[in-house]
Amino acid sequence: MQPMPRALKVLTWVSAGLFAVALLMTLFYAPREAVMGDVQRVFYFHVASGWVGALAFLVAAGAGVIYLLHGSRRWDAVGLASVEIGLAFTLANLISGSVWARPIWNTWWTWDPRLVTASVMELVYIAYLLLRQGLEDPDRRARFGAVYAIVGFLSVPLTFLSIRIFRTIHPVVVGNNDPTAQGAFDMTPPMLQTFLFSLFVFTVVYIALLWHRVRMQALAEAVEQRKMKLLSA
Amino acid sequence: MALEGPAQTFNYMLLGYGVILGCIGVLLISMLARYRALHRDLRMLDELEAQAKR
Amino acid sequence: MTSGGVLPLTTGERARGYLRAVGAVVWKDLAAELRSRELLSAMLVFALLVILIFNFALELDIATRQTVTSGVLWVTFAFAGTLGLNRSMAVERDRGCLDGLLLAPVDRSALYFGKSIGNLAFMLIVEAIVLPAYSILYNVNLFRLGLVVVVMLGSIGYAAVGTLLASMAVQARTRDVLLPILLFPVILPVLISAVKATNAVLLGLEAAELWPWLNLLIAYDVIFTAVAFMLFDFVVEE
Repeated sequence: MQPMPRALKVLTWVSAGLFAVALLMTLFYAPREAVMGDVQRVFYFHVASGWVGALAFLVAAGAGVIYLLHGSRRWDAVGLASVEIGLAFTLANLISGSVWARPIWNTWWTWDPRLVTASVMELVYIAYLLLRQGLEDPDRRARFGAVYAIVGFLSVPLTFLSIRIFRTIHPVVVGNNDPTAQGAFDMTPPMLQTFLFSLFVFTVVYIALLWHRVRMQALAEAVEQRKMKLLSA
Repeated sequence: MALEGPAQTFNYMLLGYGVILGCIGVLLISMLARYRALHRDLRMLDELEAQAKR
Repeated sequence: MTSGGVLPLTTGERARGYLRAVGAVVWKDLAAELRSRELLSAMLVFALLVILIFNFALELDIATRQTVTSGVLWVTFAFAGTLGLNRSMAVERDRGCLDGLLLAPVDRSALYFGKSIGNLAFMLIVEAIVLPAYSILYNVNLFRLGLVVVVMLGSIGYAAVGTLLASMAVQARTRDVLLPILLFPVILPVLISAVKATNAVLLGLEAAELWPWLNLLIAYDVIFTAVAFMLFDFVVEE
């Protein structure tokens, strides 16, 4: 396997550093929210995780399209890597959302469009991995993964839309104040800066993780090939 | 009934951060573990191939 | 002409050939099913059993029945549909028909349309029997045109995506359990819209309650039929 490119080494250190800065910002630079208290600080990383989940989904679908058009295994690796990373961040988004909801609305779960859509996205991610796992042929794994990533990516916004329409026609059924407001609060400038910075940092972290994972996939395939060669010799 | 200052939600904050860092952490650990396994396989393959040559 | 080459087809001839191919695939499935009736009876019995279970699982007294009928029906259709899709594609694979079909000089998409129309037909047949059965068992009037339209639209979307995903699932080791896992997250917009639209029809709600859902269903059907038809090639190449 090729040695780690210098750019990746730099990126890794930079993203780790940025992450630490963002963490400190959310804990100390951003002010404590007047009504919700400290738990509101979770919001910055919660939304940033959700953002990465959605971005990863988009990248997986795009990589799927490119793979189907060109057949280059590198793009399959990008798709798989993106799904794995998206899975982790979406899970972080879901559970942290739950943790935030509990003290604010006295419930662990609300059926609001964003949370439900994120859950559906998570289920699509898992289904993608299960699909690949059930297939022996690597070429088929790549092709089917690409197809499912595309189908999944197209359906998730429609799911969001359906639930949104459901909410506008039928005002809140669950017994809490206003789930669609997402615990609304006004963002003061330091909060806004922290928020945007977190989004930026998480994006950088995503890219670093993606790059690492894609390289690892190339290594895994090389190892697999050598194993096959050795076994057949 | 006006609240006296913000709600006491520090524990929930810790839990929330723990969850997020935990998920990212598990991802990192899983990647590292798989990476180590691959390198082990690579070393083993190198040895086996060297043996085969002899 | 002494060249011995193939005469180029006109557009009209090609279109007719395409439709013939689609028809051939549909007819193959329907004829085989008419003879054995395995698939239909399995789907039907399953659907009726699900309805029966719902009777005990939910308190379907007169009041709740009105609000819950829509959901019960669509859950039933979704599960029975999965059964049908699985069997329909598995049969192809097991009997090696798929390879035979792929060798035919016909555009792959004809195969897709043929299979999905066949799957749709099976779903509609089952639905055509379940709806009257439900009407009788629960004394609910399901004989409305609006309902027929909604069931039709929902089933089209279901079959369009289901055929594509079933073609993939059936080639995996975990084939039986994989299709629902793949299909359900992705078919949610159809299910949500179908349930809400059916509800609107059954409760006689005003048009403003019905139209958004119908529009969503139509949009979904169009988008996913187009996407599935384009992606099907990648799913059956060997």
